[in-house]
Amino acid sequence: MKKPVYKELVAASSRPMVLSILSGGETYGYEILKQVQLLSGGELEWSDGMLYPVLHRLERDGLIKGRWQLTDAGRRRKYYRLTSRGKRQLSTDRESWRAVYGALQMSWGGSHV
Amino acid sequence: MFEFENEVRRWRSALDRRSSLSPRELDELEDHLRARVDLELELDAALAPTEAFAIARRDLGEPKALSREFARAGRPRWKPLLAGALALYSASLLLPVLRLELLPASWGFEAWVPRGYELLADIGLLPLNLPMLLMLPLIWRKRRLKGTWLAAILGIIGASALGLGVAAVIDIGSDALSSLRPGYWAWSASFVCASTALWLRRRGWASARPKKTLAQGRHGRV
Repeated sequence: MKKPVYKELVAASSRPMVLSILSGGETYGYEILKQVQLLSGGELEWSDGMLYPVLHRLERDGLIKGRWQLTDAGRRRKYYRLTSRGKRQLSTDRESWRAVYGALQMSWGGSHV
Repeated sequence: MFEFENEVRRWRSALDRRSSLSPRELDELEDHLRARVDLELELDAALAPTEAFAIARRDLGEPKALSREFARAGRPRWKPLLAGALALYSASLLLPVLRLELLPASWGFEAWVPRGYELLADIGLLPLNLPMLLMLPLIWRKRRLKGTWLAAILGIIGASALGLGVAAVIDIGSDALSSLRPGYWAWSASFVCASTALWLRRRGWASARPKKTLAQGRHGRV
């Protein structure tokens, strides 16, 4: 059986993951969690309770912005969207992760292994 | 019989008691719990609501763990601001405040420049200092205290003192600057900072008030 991605890597990738999902448009916590599962084929194990502190930290850092709305069912729900600062951060994160991935690919494919 | 709404209320009040989450954070977690229960029921029609609720509750995590995760995400902005306000207020007690031409010239003093702690004992100034002195014990004891009035009083005192100081500097110039010593500015600024901190804290504690209903179907399943 395949081992799940270890938690330090899950935590490190949480910011670019959330920012990437929000670059597709405004959405709320539960939908983000479902997207993470879908995109990773279930290999990134995000606990339900872990997501919200991440969202609040990103909001505090000005990378995303939340707003409360009433759903048709009359429930309060917080929707998040990417800010311009968040877009810049996503672009930086993308470059960093590509650099890491590229270096690992090279080392696995080359004579280092 | 399983009463979903009662169970959600019970879960929320237990989470509120056993964690340090704000009402807004609780609102968001409650919405998540409800959405998760809906999904579990959709995925498995044979599942009983009580089981769906148990799965959703378990996956959200224990109150202590949730509290820890939120705390790890960072301290709210109002806390450092409040610490700054208290530091400024403490400093103002030790610094010279303002020159007072109170003593008779025959005593040989041209001017008396008291430090903040000397004025703190003045009964006439106590009403001005009281909101600041009461603030910390009040918010410490009553975690749910919104503190709107306290923030307003602190803000009015601080802004008025700062305004008077600035007006005096504009009108009189260097004389005012030599009369209003660092303690005065620190004292005034501490009230403004404390007021701002309480406003920020209030925003965090107040339960969310959404502005409008979503257009049907705009965000998919609701």
